[in-house]
Amino acid sequence: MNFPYYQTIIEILDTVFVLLAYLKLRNEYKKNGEENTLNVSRLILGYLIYFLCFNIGVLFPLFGLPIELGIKIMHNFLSTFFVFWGAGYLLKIPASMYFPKIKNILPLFTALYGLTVGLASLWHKEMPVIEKGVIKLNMPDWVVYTNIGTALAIVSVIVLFFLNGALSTSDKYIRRRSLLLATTAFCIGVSTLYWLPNTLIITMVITVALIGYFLLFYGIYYKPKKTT
Amino acid sequence: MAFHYWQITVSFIDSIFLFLILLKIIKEYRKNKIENVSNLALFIFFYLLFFASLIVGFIFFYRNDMIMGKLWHNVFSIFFLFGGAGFLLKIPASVYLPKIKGLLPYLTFGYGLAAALISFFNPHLPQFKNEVVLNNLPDWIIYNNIIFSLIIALTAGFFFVNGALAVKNKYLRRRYLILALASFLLGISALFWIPDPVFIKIFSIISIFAYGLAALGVYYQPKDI
Repeated sequence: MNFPYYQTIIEILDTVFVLLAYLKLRNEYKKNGEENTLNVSRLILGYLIYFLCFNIGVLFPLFGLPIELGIKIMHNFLSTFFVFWGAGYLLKIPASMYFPKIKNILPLFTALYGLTVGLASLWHKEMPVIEKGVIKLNMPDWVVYTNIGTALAIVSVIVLFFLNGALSTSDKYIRRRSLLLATTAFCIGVSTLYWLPNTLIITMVITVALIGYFLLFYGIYYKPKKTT
Repeated sequence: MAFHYWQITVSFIDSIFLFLILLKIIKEYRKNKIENVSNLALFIFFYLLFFASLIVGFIFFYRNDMIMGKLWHNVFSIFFLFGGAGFLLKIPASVYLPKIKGLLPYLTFGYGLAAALISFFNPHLPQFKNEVVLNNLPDWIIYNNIIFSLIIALTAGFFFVNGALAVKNKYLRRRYLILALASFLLGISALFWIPDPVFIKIFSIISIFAYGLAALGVYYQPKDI
């Protein structure tokens, strides 16, 4: 059996970093009770479930179950649904300023989008395949490109948000943290190209993703010192 | 050769509505000098350039010059459309990204230029089918254009729905709802990028309603209660 060891090891490491980031944010929310902290933690929770679905799907062949079932149902359907559900909570943050009356429907809206593309992937006739240690998802073209476009649009806004934060502060530690989180978002943005069914691209971008999720964990745990 | 009267007529009607909207916004800017109004005016101006490029492209197609038609219809139009979107993005950015909001038009013009150059070097030429022109752009450009247009239009739609829920004046609420409907229809009409004659015809008709409603919403004067 050609087990996709390379991708699985990296995805498990990503999951650990995301889990640590989630735990820190939950803890933060318990302390400060701020709605926006809760929103970010739900975004990370969506990511965590996304990785769990993916990793469980990849383990299917080890138990004699078909990989098509694991990847198609667990990864291409469930994980896509959860990652876009989580994205709705991120969108709630700017929405609290611009759409306070309807901000709560955003997670529902993005979940609906996730459900649509998830179902389209589930019913797509092409099956995922393993090639040179990585999984080619083989989703429909429109799902691949709209997922990448949507993810890049969201991530670009986050990068710009942290860059703006870095330029707005004179505290070098806070600036460092903002730049760390901007780099995180940039790496995670680039890594969305893994939806493209090309072995070389997948291999490159999942490595970039590993750096991105490590920086996410580091940026969230990084404590800016007080400048005198 | 069947003349693609469909798209040229629709683009012409759409651009008249847009021109009326631009006139109203310029008038508004002269009165109040608000920066966000000038950003909106610049966005509409580039949108008009997008329509002008489409129409010039159609004229070249009519003269059977597919290369020049492609240049105007698939290259210049995309550059103007996405380049100009940066001015629209500057409006929310003035709250969240005040330090780098000036960078946004450069970023969107960069995306517009990249998409335009890729369209230019795409070996497929546009073609006629059932009285419409199929753009034959690369798949990733088509789907990215649709999703970016949808994201921008939906955001505008949500903004106006929120506005309608937040006001008590029924005339103002009516105006917001007209603009919200216009935004949602504009978002849906972005599906005209899909190179299919039926899609192009359906979404072209929807676009006329969308731009008409947008003009109506802009010119509608809410009464004071």
